[in-house]
Amino acid sequence: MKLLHKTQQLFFRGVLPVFVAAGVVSFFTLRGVFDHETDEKLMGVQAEIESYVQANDTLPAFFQTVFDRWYAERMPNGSVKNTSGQTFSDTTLFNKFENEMEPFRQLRFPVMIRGQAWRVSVSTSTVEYHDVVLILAVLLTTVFALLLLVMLWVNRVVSRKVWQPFFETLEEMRRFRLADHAPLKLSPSSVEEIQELNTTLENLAHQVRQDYHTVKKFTENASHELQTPLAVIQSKVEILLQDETMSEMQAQQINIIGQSTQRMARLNRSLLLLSKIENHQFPAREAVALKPLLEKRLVWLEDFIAEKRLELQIELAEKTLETNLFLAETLVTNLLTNAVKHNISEGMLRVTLNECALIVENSAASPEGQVADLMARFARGNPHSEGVGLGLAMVLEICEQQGLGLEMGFENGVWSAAVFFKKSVF
Amino acid sequence: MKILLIEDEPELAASISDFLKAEGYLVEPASDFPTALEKAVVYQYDCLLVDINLPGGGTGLDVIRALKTLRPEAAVIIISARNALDDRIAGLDFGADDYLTKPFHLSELNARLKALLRRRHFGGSSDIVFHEIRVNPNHRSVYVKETLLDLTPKEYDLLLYFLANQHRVLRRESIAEHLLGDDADQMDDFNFIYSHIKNLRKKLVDLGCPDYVYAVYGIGYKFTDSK
Repeated sequence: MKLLHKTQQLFFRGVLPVFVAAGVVSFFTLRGVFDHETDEKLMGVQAEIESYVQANDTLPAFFQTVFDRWYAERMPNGSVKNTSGQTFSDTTLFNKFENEMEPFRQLRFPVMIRGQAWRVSVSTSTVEYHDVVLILAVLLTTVFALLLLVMLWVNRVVSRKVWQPFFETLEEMRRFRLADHAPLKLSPSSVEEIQELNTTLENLAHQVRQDYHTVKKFTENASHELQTPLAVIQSKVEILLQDETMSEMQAQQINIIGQSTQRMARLNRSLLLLSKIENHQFPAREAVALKPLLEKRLVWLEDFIAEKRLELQIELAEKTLETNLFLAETLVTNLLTNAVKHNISEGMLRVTLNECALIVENSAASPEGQVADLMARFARGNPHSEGVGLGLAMVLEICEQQGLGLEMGFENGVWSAAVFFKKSVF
Repeated sequence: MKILLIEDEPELAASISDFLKAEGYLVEPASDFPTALEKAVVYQYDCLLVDINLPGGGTGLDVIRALKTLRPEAAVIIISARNALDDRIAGLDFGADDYLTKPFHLSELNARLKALLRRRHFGGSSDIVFHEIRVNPNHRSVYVKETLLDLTPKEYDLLLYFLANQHRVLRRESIAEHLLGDDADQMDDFNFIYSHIKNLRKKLVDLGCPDYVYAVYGIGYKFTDSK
């Protein structure tokens, strides 16, 4: 969720209940006030009637207008006691002037006239104030809604303005590359917290860059440190092998030392290359023509293709890709050598290059079905192969970095790897 | 032929030195930057073998730069553990003629050194002769008893490699790496060299050449006229 949406949402969540509560409270308060007024009015009428009865010892004439009416009825003798006190009630009565039922508020109270108990009802129409309350409610709701919208808008504008430097910082961070030579430089902000964030990030970036260079230096030195003793071993092996007084068995043992040394050197080199790719050390980009790269590599592989008597199906269109030349070479080399290395005798090798993808397919024995396993470092398709198994890890890393899509699979004895030039293809 | 060997690892320097002495070179060692710089500038050598990382306040690249301003024609081969692309490019930009990444085969160094010296001293025009075999490196052509021998590029490279490393056991891996170049790392199965060797031997023998190629069981091959 975006920051702006989040603040909007929180704001909305905070303000809406307050508005609703305020609306409900005002509604009921208003209604209470109106009810109280009505009851006061009815009690006023009661007092008038009671004083009239006291003075004249008889009831005033029955009275009815659109809004008020009163009438009296005789009570049965025995119920005098029960009729003491007032009772208020809401009811609906027929308004003969309007010719419809309307809500009324009613007050009933007893009076004694010449020893006779009467119950008097005084009613007043509440239609008027019902209307008023309704209008008020609509008015309140509208005002609150408008207020809410305005506040949300203001909040949005303000947030956007306040967070602007933050977004700038974010964008800068996104563009930040460890391998770049320029240090991270963020534009200064007048907001204290943002400035603090920027300073912290700049320091962090500086620290990370320093560590990165240390590690880079370290890997290079490690490679140097490792390659030199390997070179010593290898040279000694070569010199020993020239010794004619050595037995055949001894020579073989020494040769094995040489082979292992070579494997170690190869592994070391591959690991270094992979870490370099992972460290984004090949940032340069140019238009790379893929067809010549593939053709060159296929020529290079011809001995291995001939030895396995592979059936070649090559279909290459002209295609240039905006990428790093070295990475493109590494990608092509790894895909093709893998397809040849893991091919079976008299198998098939199909290479297709078109506008949207490079597809390399080869016959293979089944263990290669495990795509994920193959991707892992050091994993090997064939336990007897001496290949280092870093090839596909490199392919994966290059595709990820260059924004290429990669799909691999094994079906009906055919292993296929497809590199899509636009990730959005699938 | 005088060679200046700039290498700080004593055991590696000893190996290279022994190997090159056996080939008939005079080898002068230098194990740190000041010695290397002094010798490179003061004396004349037919070729310099230069390691990039050196103790003593400078790199092999600095030595090459200093040397090349004095004697632009000097022959230089870089031997370095750093296979960083930029090092290689920088080295070749400074005028190094070749670049070998450690670890390398001494026989490979030998072949490259011979090719470089031939280019420098005879403009590549001198033929390589071994009994009835004559190779003209300029035209990449091979004659046996003055009959032109038709070889594939790989067979030609193989023959030249054998000729550069006569009487010496060449390991299969070393031959394969020589034929494949830098990318040999990519492959792990070097059986393909059998067929090239078989074809080369057949072509030579067909033209009346004795078979100079001996298989050394489990290890590799030897090209020699003795035995």
